[in-house]
Amino acid sequence: MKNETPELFKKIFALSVIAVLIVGFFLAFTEMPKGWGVNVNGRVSRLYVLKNVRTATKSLDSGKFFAKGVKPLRTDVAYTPIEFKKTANLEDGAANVVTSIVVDYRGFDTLGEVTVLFLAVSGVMMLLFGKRKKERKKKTEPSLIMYVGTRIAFSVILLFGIYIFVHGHLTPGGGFPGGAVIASGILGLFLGRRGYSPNHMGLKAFESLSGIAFVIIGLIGFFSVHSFLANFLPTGIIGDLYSAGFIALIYIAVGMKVGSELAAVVDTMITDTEEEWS
Amino acid sequence: MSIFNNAALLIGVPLLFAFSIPLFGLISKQLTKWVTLFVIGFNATFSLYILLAHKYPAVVVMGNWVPPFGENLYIGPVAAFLVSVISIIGLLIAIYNLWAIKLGDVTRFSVLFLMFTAGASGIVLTGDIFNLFIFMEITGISSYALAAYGPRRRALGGAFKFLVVSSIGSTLYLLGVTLIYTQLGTLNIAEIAARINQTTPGLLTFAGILLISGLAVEAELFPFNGWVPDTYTGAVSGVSASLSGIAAISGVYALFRIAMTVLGRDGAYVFTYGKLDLMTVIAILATTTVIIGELSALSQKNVKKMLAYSSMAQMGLVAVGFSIGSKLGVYGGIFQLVNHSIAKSMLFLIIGVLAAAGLGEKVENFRGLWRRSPFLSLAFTIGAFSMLGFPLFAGFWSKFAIVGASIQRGGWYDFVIGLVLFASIVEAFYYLRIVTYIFSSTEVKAPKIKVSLSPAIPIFVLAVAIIAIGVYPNFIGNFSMQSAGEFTHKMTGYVLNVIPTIVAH
Amino acid sequence: MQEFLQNWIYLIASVSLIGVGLYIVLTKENIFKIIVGLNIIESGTNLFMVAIGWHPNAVMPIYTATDHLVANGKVIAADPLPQSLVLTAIVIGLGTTALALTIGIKIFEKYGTLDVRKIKEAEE
Repeated sequence: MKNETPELFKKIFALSVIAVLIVGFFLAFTEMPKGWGVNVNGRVSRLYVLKNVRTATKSLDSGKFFAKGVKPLRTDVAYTPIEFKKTANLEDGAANVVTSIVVDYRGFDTLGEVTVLFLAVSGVMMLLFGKRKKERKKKTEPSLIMYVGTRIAFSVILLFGIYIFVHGHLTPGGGFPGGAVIASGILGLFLGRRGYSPNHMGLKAFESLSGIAFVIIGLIGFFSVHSFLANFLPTGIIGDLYSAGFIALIYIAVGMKVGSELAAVVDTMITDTEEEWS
Repeated sequence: MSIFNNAALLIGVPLLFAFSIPLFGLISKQLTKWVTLFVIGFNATFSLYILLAHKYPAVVVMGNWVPPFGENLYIGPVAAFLVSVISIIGLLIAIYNLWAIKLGDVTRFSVLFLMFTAGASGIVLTGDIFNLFIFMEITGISSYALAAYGPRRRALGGAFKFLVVSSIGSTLYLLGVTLIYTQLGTLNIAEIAARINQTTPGLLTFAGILLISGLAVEAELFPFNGWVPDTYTGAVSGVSASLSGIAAISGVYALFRIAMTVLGRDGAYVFTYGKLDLMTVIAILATTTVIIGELSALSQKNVKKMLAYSSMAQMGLVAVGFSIGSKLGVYGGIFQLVNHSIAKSMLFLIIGVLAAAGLGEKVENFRGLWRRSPFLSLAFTIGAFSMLGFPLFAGFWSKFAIVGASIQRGGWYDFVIGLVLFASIVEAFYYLRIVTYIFSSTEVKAPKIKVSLSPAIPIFVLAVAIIAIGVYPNFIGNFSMQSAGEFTHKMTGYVLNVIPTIVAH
Repeated sequence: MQEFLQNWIYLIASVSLIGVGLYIVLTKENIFKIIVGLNIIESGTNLFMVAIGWHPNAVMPIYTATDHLVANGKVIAADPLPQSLVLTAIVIGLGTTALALTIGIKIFEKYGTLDVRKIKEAEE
């Protein structure tokens, strides 16, 4: 561009955009329930916390759910008390309600989210594709403590990552944090040894197979319950490790996928490549 | 509510194969392009089956939780029709890619292209306002990466600009979704649409502005379309074709699904709830887009950049058609959208073939093209005539319908007649300039251009489609008319098909 | 005062973050700074989304031996749905950032600069 936009004009433009945004948000906030006004019972989340969507579905089918005007009668949906470690065979057995939403009630979102990460990693790999340079950039040689320490830490970190995604339905965490923890362990290996390079074939296969596993779990639901990504396993007693149906399976697949993908990103970005277009 | 869960395969199968393409890539890189081709072919066949066997309107329940509690896909006339169009154009571009994409990381390119097409179909299919955001990101991320692909360094600048603008746009969209959630407590499009008058007007207006400005990025409307020329010019031609042919469809769909179904009120003409009529705002933005796009296209020397600006202007015209708000207007908009996708993706593919033959992108390079390749010249001429709305070409009928709708609506919408006329005249100027260059009788020494089979098939099919629609517009017109009904009658066309027991307001 | 803070503090913080991020993206010329700006906008959005599900009485939405999420048939837990949406949004933000950084790396390789103005000049 020949006539460069003046610096001052740019700043004034930016500030006015932000001012409009702030005024708009202020107006919206005054009309929005906030703080003490937040009422979870009027939201669809109430049904997820009560784990009582089936009853709500029944009253929807009989025309009662939306009877008064158009306001849904979410507060009318009955509450069956849920006791930790006692109540069995809930419609979704996960103790962590966020997990039950992420994987079960809105599992399709999670599949999309995994896909987004996969596509981003594919994009990174496609753009940085090329012949590997033999000589690497000069980097300081890590000390012996770093070398030994990262290797010891790696096993612990790996175990912790696995713990996080296996217990995703009981404690905070799940496939994504667990995968990120594992990837940080692998990052440690990169820091600990110069010229460290993971097994590329293995990473690639791991990444693909865990993604395929997710879709296949969805397809099993499609063929057995006739709904894509439906839970097809018994949900067990809430709070048990072996509960919540397919949530643990999906989180294991997600954790492995995220771990291998993030490791692959680190590996791709750390190696110098020379692109070739001929 | 009729349930048709098998349609989940429209998303499930592409995902399954997208994840497994890296494994196919271990066997052979060329194989991955064929895998992409076959999967998009499956999608095209399946969606055509849904369209022609009249399986719609139907709801696809995800995870066995019926709407509004879980997520669902909704297959109405719009979804059935637009997914077919997206998949068929995707299939044709995949055939073109067999020839065009040989260097670089072919495996990853196949993954990204496959998910780009599937994500665009997902935007059209989904019935959940947050799931729409996810699919927008799937389409978005794959298109940033695809736009940066290629040996030319200017691809990177365009892709980065696209990334920044588009991710700010999707953040704004997400904020709008969140604001609506605070008051209605749901994310299902059908429930929000039915209960939208229960929100307070100030919040609704601001949320609407956020949603519209977020979605206008992909729909290429005026203040948010700065990325268009750089990205289209920098990307390789197959990618430009898919951006203008596929992403544009899903972008416009998402914009008007939110503006008309979610925020709009039923009536002869669709207005939106809130303190401000967002349909009028869109009409103003779209008009500006048309004027700016056409005038910028007029002064371009680079053909690809000219096509990019023309694409912008045409999307503005589509949005004007939609924003008239009547059934006829929406009909014209959808028809124009489909025609534009067909013609513009064909033009970009032709540019790609010419670039591979060593022809530059300057207008002057087209001089005497007729002697070098009659096939490409004819196809280019057909596309150009359709673009400027020459009678008996596809674009004529849709522009005609938009003009008809504006006459029917009357009032200040009469200016749309002038706008369409202005657009057609300016388009005639710059498209016919190229066409005269092509047919100019100067002797050229350069050898004839050989077009191999795989790029020739999509160009031929698209050119035939333009002529066929031009001569017999009723086939596509029927589907467009049904789709228009879904947009303008939100309760009977959309909400009650998803949640039958909800009470109409 | 306390009530005002409880109602407004997270909302004000999130909007300020969004504003700061937008200012950076709109005015800065360095590609790396623009990416940082995008990340700040994303953090603001995520904070906003978590804030709309929180109320002063809220307990975490996880069934444990001691926590009761429901009292007298009414849910007292924080709203879990926005939290799950944030989980998704964070991952998407991560993907976008990774891709943006990669494009930045390639731009630096091919143009030798990260300044948007110099890149524009080099194009002409």
